[in-house]
Amino acid sequence: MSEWHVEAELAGRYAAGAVTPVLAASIELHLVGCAPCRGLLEVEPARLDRIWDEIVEEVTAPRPVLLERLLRRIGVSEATARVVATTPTLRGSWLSGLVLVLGLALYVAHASPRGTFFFLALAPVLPLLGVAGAFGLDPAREVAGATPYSAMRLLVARTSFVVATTLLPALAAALFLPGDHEVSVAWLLPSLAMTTLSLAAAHWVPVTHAALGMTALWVAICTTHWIASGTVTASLAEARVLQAVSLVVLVVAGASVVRHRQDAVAEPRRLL
Amino acid sequence: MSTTREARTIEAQGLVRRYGRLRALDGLDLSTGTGVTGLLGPNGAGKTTLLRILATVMPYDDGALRVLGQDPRTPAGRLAIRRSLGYLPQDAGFHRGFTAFEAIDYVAVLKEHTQVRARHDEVRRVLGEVGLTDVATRKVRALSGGMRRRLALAQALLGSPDLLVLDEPTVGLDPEQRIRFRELVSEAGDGRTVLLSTHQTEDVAAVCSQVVVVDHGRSLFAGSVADLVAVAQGRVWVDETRDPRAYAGWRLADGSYHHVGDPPAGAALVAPRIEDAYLLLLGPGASREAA
Amino acid sequence: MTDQTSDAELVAQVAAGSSAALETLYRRHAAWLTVRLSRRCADPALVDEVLQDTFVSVWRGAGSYRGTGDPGAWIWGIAVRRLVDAFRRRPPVAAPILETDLDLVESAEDRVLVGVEHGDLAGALDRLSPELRAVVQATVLDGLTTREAAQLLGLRPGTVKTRMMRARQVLRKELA
Repeated sequence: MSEWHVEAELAGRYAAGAVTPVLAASIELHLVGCAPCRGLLEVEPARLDRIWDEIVEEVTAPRPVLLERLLRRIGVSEATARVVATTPTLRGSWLSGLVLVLGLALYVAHASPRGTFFFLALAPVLPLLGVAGAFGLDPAREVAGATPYSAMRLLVARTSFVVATTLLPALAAALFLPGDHEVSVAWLLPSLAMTTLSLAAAHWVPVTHAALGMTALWVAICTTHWIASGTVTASLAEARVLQAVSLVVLVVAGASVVRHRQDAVAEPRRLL
Repeated sequence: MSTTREARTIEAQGLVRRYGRLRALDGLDLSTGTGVTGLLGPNGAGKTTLLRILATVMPYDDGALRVLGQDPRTPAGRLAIRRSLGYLPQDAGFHRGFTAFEAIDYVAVLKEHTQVRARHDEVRRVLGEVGLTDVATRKVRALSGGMRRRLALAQALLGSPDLLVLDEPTVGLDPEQRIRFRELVSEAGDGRTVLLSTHQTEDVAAVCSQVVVVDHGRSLFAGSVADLVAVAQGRVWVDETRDPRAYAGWRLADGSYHHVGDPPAGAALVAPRIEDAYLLLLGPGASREAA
Repeated sequence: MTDQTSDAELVAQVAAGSSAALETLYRRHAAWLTVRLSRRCADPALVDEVLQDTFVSVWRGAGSYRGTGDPGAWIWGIAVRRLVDAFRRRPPVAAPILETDLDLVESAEDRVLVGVEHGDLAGALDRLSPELRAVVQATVLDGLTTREAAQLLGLRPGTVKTRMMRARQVLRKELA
């Protein structure tokens, strides 16, 4: 650039604020384009290191994904939010698939006289499939299994959010079913019971197996019921027995989960 | 963790793991201390099964096992092992929508690094160790195969664990990364226990102080690298023509044939290398992939 | 990357995601930026914060650097705006000490103003009241808009405009 350069003595006075405004101005204009002169200005290295650490943190550390930010909002701890955010069945693809399936079930319910039954048979297994996928589809499960993080805690954290994100749309869809509302929500209790039972069963068998087994059981019950009674729309609601049994299962399985929440460390291949 | 000698070792006697009628481990014995131990064997020898058992992600059916002095069959033992363990599985996957940093950060959460800032620093440290600092903010799905493999290695290094269990750690690494990896493992083996499986004899020669040759779920050899090479002393020779009685043989660049097995009288013996001893241990008709 | 890598190349590498390049850039520029910011902001903690924001912005915005002009000037441009932002978030208790403020875009007006050999101009600037000089420095020399200057100085935009007009009159009279 120019022949003129800042000397060490001048740089010191500039840094100390002891030069006239006009001189400071010309120093600053010069500095912008002159690396050697910039090098004359020094700041305590420890201070710069400290600032650099902060920059690195902000630059590399994750800006949490939307789901994580939402979880943090509702008071979930940072660590738990991260663990929940890795759930495969809390991703957009699962949620859009869910909406699609519910839409289809609603369409069938309106199009066919037996359609409501189809919806009632399908809705309660959606959370089960979500839970099965939350672990069966987890690409990091082998790594996760070798860590000290409580497997039951991971299970309960993920399952709660999978159930919430599945049941809410399903409930919303159920409101649009033909017929009365008592029938529309008859599947809710069995669904919760089966999901909780899968969790409880995870103490002994892989949760993916438990959830899929429960799904198969439910489909079998529904099919048998349909064949045996021939009635459709109100069959589930009328089956007071089913509701009662569901309630009992929910309470017992829930108690078992609570009891085993201290299962800090999974038996290999049991939980995950 | 206590720092007694026992707390740094793996002791297995008669380990058995069945898959239906197949015995993946068939009475395997293993005894290691600090330093790097290489597990050498052909595919299907039971290496992965053994490592998964040591990493507490798979139960075993029979035998006795102590990892770092702990019993992996009790919850307390498993917890203690997992707290001192870095495990690189053969098929370590990550959530593809996460960045490299987030993927490792997730494992760090699972490894009980609760202080956010300290955890992030540790994540950056291990990413630096495997040379992935510059892709920390890139999505896992955008990383190459070699980078993902290094990412998998990075999570195993979190918290500088006392025990590193690495299943085929050098697969997918290019020569330069392989050298960097050997440095890393040698450093890790200093005062700590590293167990790695491979079917690359060069890896063993480069980093392992001890070597265990495994086939059909059993240990065929356990000892130092020098002892392993000594197995083939006087059993490696070269000849102008291919000798069909040799366990294994291949053509060298100069047109002569390198043989491993029982040499005929008057054969031109040569100094053995690890792969010769390895092939000899596997027996006649053994896989030649190590060559 | 070596010591010889130019700043412009480093910015390009930062745009490609290299945090090592960002560190080199930081090591080269952090000190003088800190000194220059300190001349505009008396609170060291705030200067640190602004410096941090500046390099985070460099990281995120490296792709928008067009390669025209010195990267040092570009980074300073970011820094001074981050300083304005910081004052907006947390207005300084006392008005910032602004003995001087000068800048980068080498416009014709700048060249006149920095032509210190023209003793008249230098003297005229030095004789401006601190209030008027601060406005001249922020708008003409730091290249800030009236609104940004107002935020930096803790004034209403209208006040900045009036003071700027007043300063022009004084300078014109002095140099006439």
